[in-house]
Amino acid sequence: MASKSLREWQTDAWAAFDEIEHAHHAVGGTKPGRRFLTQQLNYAYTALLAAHFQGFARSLHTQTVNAVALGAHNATYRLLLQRSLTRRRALERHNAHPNSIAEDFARLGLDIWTLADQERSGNGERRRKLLALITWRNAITHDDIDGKLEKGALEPTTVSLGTCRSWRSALNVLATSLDKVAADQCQTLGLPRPW
Amino acid sequence: MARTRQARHTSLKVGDRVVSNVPGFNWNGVVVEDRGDLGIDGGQIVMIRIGDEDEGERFEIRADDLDRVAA
Repeated sequence: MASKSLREWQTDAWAAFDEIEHAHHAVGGTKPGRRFLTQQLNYAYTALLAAHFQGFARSLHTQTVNAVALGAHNATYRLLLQRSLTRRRALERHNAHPNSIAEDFARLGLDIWTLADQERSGNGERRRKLLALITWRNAITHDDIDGKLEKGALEPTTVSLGTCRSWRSALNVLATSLDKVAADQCQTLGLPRPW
Repeated sequence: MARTRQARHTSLKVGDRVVSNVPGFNWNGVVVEDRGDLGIDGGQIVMIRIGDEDEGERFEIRADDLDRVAA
């Protein structure tokens, strides 16, 4: 069983990523200009990965808050929880930087990255890939790639289709782990497992 | 202008003016985002804003806890 957030990640987000992959194939060939076209597709792929992962993390937080709030003993208390736990979330103001995800889920008593690391080996490295993705996303959308490269802030130093596929694979595993850790926390709080 | 509380809605939309139907809260807000059926029970969740567009408070709430009011 998975949350609606994870199911949407695995359907809607994956479909969007597949469209970029198909566009890559459509721009095939060896003519001059292909490299520029595929580079722009890779940048679009990077931004899309970051955008959909932010959407997933935000929705997972919404669903977890809702599960916690439904455990309140009356409607007034439920509303108080719902309001307090969702106002001024980091994921409303920032993209899915690991620190933003940690900040929002900490409201629910979760040290989410420690638990995610415990949930599956290799998640520490996947979180570093998420950070690399977000750093690249910011450089692309703020038109600051050269500036970031000069500062040595971009790792890897180029984005290829392989890079995007590696990020996508890491995000898939992280999404599954975050989904499980959030559900576990509901049980820890004495609530029914929500998904 | 006086506002008239309307019958329970089936679905709220962005731009709807709403009040809380839960005792203890006296809000006048506006729906700024439809988050869809993200409720654990499949219920609609909306983001509402209370106060100014720039400095007002925004948070998520179950649509069931709100009533639409006439503008």
